[in-house]
Amino acid sequence: MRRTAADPEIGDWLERTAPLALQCQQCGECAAVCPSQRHGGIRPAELMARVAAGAGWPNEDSLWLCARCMSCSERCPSGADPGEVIALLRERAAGRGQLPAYLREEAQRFFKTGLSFPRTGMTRKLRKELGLPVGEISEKALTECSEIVRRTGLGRFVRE
Amino acid sequence: MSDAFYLFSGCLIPTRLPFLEASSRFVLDRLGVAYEDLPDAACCVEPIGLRTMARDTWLVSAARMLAIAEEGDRDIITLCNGCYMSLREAAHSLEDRIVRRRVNAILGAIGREYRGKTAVHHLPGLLSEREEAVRAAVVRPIALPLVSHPGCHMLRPSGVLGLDASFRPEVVDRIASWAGATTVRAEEWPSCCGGGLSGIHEELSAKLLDGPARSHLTSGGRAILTPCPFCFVQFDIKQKGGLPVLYLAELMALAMGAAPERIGLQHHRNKLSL
Ligand code: SF4
Ligand code: SF4
Repeated sequence: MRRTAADPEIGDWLERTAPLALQCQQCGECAAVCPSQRHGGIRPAELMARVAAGAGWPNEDSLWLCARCMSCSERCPSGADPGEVIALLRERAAGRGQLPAYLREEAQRFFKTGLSFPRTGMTRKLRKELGLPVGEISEKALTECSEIVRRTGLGRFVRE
Repeated sequence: MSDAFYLFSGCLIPTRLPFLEASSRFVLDRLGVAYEDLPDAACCVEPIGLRTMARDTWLVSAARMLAIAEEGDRDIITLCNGCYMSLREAAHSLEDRIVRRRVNAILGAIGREYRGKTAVHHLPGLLSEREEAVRAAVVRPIALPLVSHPGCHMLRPSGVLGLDASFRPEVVDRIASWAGATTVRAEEWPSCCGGGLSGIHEELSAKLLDGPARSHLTSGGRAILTPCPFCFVQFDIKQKGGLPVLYLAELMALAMGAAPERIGLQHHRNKLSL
């Protein structure tokens, strides 16, 4: 496909990731501190080099192997914020349907229950035993959250 | 802003670890902090997975919670590193007027508006600002050697969170010392517990956990001390053969006289002997 400035992907690159990735000096600090790279996961410095070169959009599975510890961004001496670049790339990969099943389920749970983790029988039992308020999500909160999901990006990943 | 707070417990603590909520409430009560549960609260929009799938959903949902606190003229207290990072980063993004206008356009559809008046405090931050009151509330010093594990999202991004440093953080250690505990430091740069990969890639998550688990084990501490429920789950349930873990509010509640059963210490899987 011929790429022009009208290509939405190029527009996205120019507007969102390029301003960060182009600051990368390839010093390798992020690679050195990344716990995921140490164990064969994501390789932040290499990813930044590819994004900065505009060499296509990396959308490999390794995007989902970032633990989001933010050590890379914290250590980066150039303000290139690799952690945020990875987050932006994930969003785009997710939009194309490339995302872990676990997160798709989590999105569905947030839409239906307003929570990222499920309440179970054990939740109710323990809360009672410890004298805690029941702590159900209110109807109002649920209505408002699902309305937000419908009007924003997570809406792409949920079924009514 | 009034002196009273809204307590926002998040999702993981109230659903899976309610005993951590019990210890937090105990500590707030002993300190005489006035609080109520944040009305109509929901998930902060979990900042590891969901936020990276849809930044706008995260931002508007977090802004909704901040707007609710604003309506009640109160600041928020968080109990979870994830909630803290989520709400603080959202408030930071919302300082941009254009971003705020866009977010308010959506909030308007559910009858809410964010104006930027509420502050978000993490429980360790709140404690660290009240040294005198915390010391005065300690009735049973816990003289245990502990290894502190603040967790990534109490520290990073430090520019936005502003609570402690990434390199040689000290807030958790300082609070623990008021409870009579001594802390040792296994790592100058606290490493990731792998919690963010739990459910997504268990094998890699376990490898990440192994790093801090091993260095904590040989640190000289008898238990790990953390203010984060995600780190807590990694050390209490996922870790094999490592040190037991205490949540910061559990340590403080015990030191403030809570009976261990009252705050649910028996629900730890990795048993701790005091
Ligand atoms: S945020 Fe992700 S890429 Fe950056 S250091 Fe942590 S695991 Fe590595
Ligand atoms: S630390 Fe920053 S400048 Fe260095 S390689 Fe990584 S992204 Fe580039």
